[in-house]
Amino acid sequence: MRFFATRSIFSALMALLLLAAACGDSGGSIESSTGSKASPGRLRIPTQIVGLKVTPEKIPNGIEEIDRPYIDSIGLFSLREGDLLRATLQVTRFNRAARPKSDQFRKSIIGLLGSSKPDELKLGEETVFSTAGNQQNIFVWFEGKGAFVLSIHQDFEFPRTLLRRTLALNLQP
Amino acid sequence: MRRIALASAFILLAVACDPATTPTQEVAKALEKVEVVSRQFEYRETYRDRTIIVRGTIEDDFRYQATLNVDGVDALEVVVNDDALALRLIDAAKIPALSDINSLVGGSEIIANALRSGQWVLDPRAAPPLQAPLSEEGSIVVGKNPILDAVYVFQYVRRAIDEGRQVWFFNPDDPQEYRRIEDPFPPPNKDARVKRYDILQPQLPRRSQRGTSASLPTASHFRKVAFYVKQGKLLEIREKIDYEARREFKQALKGEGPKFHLTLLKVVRQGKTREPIRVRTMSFKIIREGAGVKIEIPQTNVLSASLGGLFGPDGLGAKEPEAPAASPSPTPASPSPTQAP
Repeated sequence: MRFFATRSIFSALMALLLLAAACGDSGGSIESSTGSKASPGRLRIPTQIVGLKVTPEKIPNGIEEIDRPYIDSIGLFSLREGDLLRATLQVTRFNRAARPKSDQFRKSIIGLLGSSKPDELKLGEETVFSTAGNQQNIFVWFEGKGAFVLSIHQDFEFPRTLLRRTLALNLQP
Repeated sequence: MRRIALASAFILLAVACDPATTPTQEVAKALEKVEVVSRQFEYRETYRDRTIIVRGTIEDDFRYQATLNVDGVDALEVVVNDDALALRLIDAAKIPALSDINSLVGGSEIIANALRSGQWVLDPRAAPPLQAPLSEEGSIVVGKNPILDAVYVFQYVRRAIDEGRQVWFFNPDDPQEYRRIEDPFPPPNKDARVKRYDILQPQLPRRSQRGTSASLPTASHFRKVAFYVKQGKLLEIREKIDYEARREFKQALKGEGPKFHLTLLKVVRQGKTREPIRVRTMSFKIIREGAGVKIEIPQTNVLSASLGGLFGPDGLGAKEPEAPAASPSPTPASPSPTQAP
């Protein structure tokens, strides 16, 4: 039962990953999201990280229809070099039913991402799970009541710097 | 009688509540405890008549610094900071792979001269991969880049555990597994409460396996590894790979045991193994752990340039870089992405 529940969460997240490439600039404010169902309440992200322009993206309508028993809200940001999409950052805030501090919960989620066995990385004080997807390096970390999924295209030359800078923002879902 | 029954029940409960851990799990935990904290280490390898020492500091998985010492002389220093790699040659003569620097840097005089003069060369995008590449046999091949051998050592020993027969808690009174004369490593210091765990070698290929790939030995058949652990944390790893020391081969040379082992020894001596076997002695010591350290990219007297494949898991100077581009002014360093606002 739990497996199917977490699977639903990441069906939603993977759908976002796939849809991210098709997203256009929404031109919305970067410092504060709207608080709608599909975005975390407040998130302050700079307009640029490692030279990439950060833009909040609209959550595709289809995502709303996916059963998300553990998710309170989802946010999505694109990171672009000119028009070229280099990375996406997904922010997920879990609801009360989720147990984001539980190793089992975390592993069940991470296990559904990427095509390779996740590696556990230590970056400063932060533990980050790394896996690979379709021409992407996927980094996942948990913070408070939420999780972040930073998906970076393999052609981007500074993936570790981008991850480090994003972690340094101390974002709270 | 009732009290005894009650006490027995308590004992049984206590045993049941204490999850039994195997030596393999204890070693895995000891590695994990050290792996997640910043640390200083010393990696030492003796191969043929050459001794290589790598001394390094690891801040985290993306940031480390290491110096390569060959036969008592510092030869190379590298700093890895996220995506960036900074490298300086201290004594190129000690690294035969770098004897022809000019060709290794694509003929760039600027880069070659900088390296020859001991100047730092910084490539903002040349950090080595996080995972050691695997051979076709699924092993981590060592000896091409000693600094990365040291950085990947935990990955290496985890594979060694998988390839071994089992992890064995050191017990000199176990006649089945232990013979002092065959033990290349020192016993653990019991006074200091140090525990030792060994990886036991798998059985040699059998005669009946002839004609299959399993008939050829691998390094795991000749590898001895000991982990020294104190209070659940790794102190030291020792490894010795030596096919001449394999018990069955020694017995065969004395005319004892199956003749097939003599044939097998001959095969190994001829290098007809599933993968190259590097006869070596290695030790990896944790010098200090948990100390907050910061690994910074050198800031002065730095040439920003492409190092191409000069430093990677395939070796030092394994392949030529593509179209290296050096900045015209050697100092100060061009800002790397880690320095950008």
